[in-house]
Amino acid sequence: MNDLRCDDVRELLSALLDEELSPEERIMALGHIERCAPCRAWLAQVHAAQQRLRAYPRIESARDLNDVVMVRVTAGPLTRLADALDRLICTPARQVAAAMVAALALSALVLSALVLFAALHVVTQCGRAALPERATARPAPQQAQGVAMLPEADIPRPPAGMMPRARVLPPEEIQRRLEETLRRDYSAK
Amino acid sequence: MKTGRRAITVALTSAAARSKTVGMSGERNADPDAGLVARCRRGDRAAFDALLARHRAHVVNLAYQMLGAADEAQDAAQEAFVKAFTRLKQFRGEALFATWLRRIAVNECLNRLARRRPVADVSAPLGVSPEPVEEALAVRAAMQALSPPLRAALVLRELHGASYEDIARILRIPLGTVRSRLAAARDKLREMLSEKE
Repeated sequence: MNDLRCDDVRELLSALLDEELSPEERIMALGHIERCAPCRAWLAQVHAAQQRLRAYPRIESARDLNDVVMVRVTAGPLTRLADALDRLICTPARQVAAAMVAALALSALVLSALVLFAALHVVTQCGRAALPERATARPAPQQAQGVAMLPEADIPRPPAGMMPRARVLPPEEIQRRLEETLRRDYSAK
Repeated sequence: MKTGRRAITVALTSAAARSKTVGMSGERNADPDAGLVARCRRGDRAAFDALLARHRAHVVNLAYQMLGAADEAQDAAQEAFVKAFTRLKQFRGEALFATWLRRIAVNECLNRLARRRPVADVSAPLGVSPEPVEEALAVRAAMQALSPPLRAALVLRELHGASYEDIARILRIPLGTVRSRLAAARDKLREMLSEKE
C-alpha cells in the first residue's frame, strides 16, 4: 500500500469524493490519506473548489425557444439547407471567404465549359478532315483460297462523278458466269 | 492534522449525500420522458412543449457552462434541441432521453469550441449567481481555462450530477477515462481557484 505514489492516488481520491470506488479501492484511498498529509491537503482544497463551483452563474433560456425550434424542426429540407448556410456564414470573415469560394467555383465552371467546348470543336474538325479519305478508299480485293472471284472487268462501273450503286444480277446470269469460270479454270488444269 | 481530517470527513460525508440526491442518473428501467417522447413522435405539440419545458434550463446552462458566453449558449441550446427533435426517430431508449439530449448538447458545444479561436472573452455578460460578482467571474474564468474535454466531464459531474456511467455514455469514453479526466480537471481547478483566493 505504501508503494502508491501520490500522483496515482489523486485519481482515487477524486473518485472517492464521488463515491465511485470499489470497496478495495476505497480502503486503499482512505489508508493513504490517513498517512499522507499532502494528499489530505489536496483533497481538502479540491473539496473547497467544488463548493465554489456553486457560484457559477446561471442564465435563462430564450423566451421564443419553443417556437423557433418547432419552426426549424418542421421546416422542409431546402429551408433547413438555407438555414444551415446562413448560420455557417454568419461572420463578415466567413462571408468574404464564402464569396471567394463562390467566385473560384464559378471561374472553374466557366473554364471547364470552355475547355470542353474547345475539345469538342477539335474532335469535330478532325472527324471532317478524315471523312473524304475514308469515303474514297477502296478495300483491297481479297481472294480467299479456293474461291473464284468474278473478273473485275465484268463488274459494271457507274458513270464518273456518281456514287457507286449496288447492282443485283439475275440468278440465271450468276449461274452462267459461275459455270463459265469453273469450266475455264478446270480446263486450264 | 485534526483540522485536515475533519475537512476530509466533511468532504466525504457531503459527497455521499450528494451522490444520493443527484437527479440525472438513476433507474434505467423507467425513463420519465418516455411517454412525452412517444407522443412527440406522433406529432403532439403539447408533448413537444412539455419536453422542452422540462429540459430547456438544463440544456442552456450546460451550454453556458461549456462555452462561457450567454449568446452562444442560447444558439447552441437551440441547435441541440433542433437536432434532437429532428432525430427523435433515432432515439431507441437505450439511455435516458435526458442523457441522449445532453450528449447532443455537449457535442454541439465541443464542435463550437473546436471552431473557436482560443481567446477567453472575459467581457461577456454574466448570468445570475447567488454569489458576489467577483466570485462568479473567478469561477467562470477558472472553468473556461480548462480544456474542453476536462471541462465537459467536470460540468456534467459537478453541475449536472451525472454519474460516471452517464458521463461515459455522453462523452463516449471509457469509465477509466472519466475518472482520470475528473481528477485532472479538479486538480487544475484547485490550482486556479487557490491562486485567485
